Amino acid sequence: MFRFLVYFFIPTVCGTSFISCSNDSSKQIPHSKEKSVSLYVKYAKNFKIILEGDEQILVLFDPTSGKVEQRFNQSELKPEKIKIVALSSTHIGMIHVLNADNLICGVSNMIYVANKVFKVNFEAGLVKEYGEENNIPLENLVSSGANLVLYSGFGKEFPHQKQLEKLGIVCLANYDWRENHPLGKAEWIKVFGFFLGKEKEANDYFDKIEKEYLNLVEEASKLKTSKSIISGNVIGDLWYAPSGDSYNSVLFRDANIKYNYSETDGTGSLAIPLEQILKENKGCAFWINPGTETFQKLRKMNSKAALFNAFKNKNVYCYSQKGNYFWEMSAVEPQKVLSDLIQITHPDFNVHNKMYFYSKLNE
Amino acid sequence: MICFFAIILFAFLHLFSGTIQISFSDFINGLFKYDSENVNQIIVRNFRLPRMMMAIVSGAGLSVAGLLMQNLFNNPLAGPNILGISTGSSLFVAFSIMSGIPFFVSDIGIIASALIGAMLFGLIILAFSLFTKSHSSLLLIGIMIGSFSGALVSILQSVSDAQELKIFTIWAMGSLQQVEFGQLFLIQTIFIIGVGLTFLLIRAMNALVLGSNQASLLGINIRMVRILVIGITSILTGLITAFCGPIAFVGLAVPNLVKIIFKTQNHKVLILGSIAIGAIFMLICDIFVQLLDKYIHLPINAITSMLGAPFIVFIILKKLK
Repeated sequence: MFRFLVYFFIPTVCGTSFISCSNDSSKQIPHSKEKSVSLYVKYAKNFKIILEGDEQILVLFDPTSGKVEQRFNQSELKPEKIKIVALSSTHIGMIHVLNADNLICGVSNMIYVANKVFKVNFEAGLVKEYGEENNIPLENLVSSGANLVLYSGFGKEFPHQKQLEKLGIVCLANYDWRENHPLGKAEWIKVFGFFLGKEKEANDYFDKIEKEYLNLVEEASKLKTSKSIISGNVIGDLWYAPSGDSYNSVLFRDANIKYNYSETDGTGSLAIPLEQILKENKGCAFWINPGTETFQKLRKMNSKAALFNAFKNKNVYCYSQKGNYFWEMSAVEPQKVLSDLIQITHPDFNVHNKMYFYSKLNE
Repeated sequence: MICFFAIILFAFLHLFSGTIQISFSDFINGLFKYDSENVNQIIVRNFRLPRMMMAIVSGAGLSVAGLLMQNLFNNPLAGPNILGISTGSSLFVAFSIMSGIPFFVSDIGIIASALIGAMLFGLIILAFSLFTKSHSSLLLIGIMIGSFSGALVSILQSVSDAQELKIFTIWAMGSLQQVEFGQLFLIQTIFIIGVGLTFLLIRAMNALVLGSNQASLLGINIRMVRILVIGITSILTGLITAFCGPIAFVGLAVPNLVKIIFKTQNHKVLILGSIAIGAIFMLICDIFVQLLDKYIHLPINAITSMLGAPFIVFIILKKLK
């Protein structure tokens, strides 16, 4: 009996206490706060999975206000009966990684889908298109047979959400796109694991990619001189570049890349006058993420592109040649995105010798 | 003469406004002894000079087009937008952006679409002008065509995705920064042709001040004048809309301001005055935009509307008295 206490009970209690202490408790959680324990969410800020008694609860937060937006009790879900309409590419990628592609019966638009299983299913009439999130007729969703709709959250309800919920269709706001850390974004796979009854698969997958990502960060930090980059492109009269705390900036930092705006505040984009962007970045060695796949198109999009040394030296890289695949898989494979960025900017990094998402622009 | 010296003064002020501080020597070298590796000189030649020239061309061109419209329709509230030519340009740009076809979404595609739209709608109005002698009827037809094309633009916007909508919305705000140094020759050539043709209409414009009937009695071919006015307006409006997007109020407000300043109906003076005052007006508006750029980016349309709209209200109230 004494040995049972020492070897099983005490470590379990200590471990549970450690997890609850190490997680940020600044978000408002209205129910049984003193009894709930936050489970295994390390980087993501817009959701938590907590244990209330024996019940696992998924809590989603509005990224802007920090308030609880949705709560889901796992006991109320029936993973074996799930049919999903996934209205964003990242949802497809995460479900694919959990080998649950066949649970998806609807997408926004097939032109945005890279996944081959979906294309086959679409041809077979098993997957349908439902159009843009804010423009889907209620009847179409109801007749789809889906009981879970995944949409990109913008701080407000899905259109007709209350009517859909009365009909037994759950609408889940996905805020992975609002996570500014690549691992935080990838960690949303645990949300999908929660809904699909695949928590172990989701946790194992995340642990694996987290380890790979952190190993790459360490390798990058040891590499010699890092090159400077410019990122983004012109829209109208302004250049939009990632802010210092944005997803892309975090990747640049982790890849040991010099980026002129890495110390700026904000998690979105900076709007920079064209003269300033040229003055500060003309000499940058690389141009990352101009939003197109050929130099010709880049010249047409941005008449001033040829003034940048990175353009003149043809050192411009983007994911656009694998656009749909990038949007589906990059969120759930951040270690591959990081590997690409390190390879591009550090000639002395040759571990993988393979680019997963990025390629140099074609002529 | 004073006006033209003022243009030169404001043009220099415009060249020296901007986010980056540039020395006088870099300015001179950027214009006359260009070094393609010097960032400041690159900024002068590729950013400031085209922008300044475009401010002059757009201000002068729209003002002249507005003057022609106001004289033709004998209405101080007529402008290049009134015949639906600007809206026609916008419609074709909306088509090209929403098409998603890479060429048409590019800068060159948008310019071509804007020009084609302006010319096509100019031709439509010209066709209608052959069937009606009444200026009021033609004005109403132009307004209706403008409304119709505006409705089509709304439909296109409602079915477009977020990225296309953003591109169109930003284009519709207007911009003097989209012009490249290499395009200046073409722009200035078309502008000079358009404005040059206007000078051929001085006698006809002066006669039209007395009314269409009196002008006819003086030997003016009203139909031919109408065709030329619509043609010149289409060229100038199409040119400016193609390279800058739609610019509001300049064509409406500046001709009225010119009449108040110069107190004459002699169209030789009014045309020269419109060129000068229009250019100065746009240079001043864009200097504001550049000075505020460090803090907030304002579209050029916002400034021209903020200055132009109160002035138009003033004109209306003055007319009512």
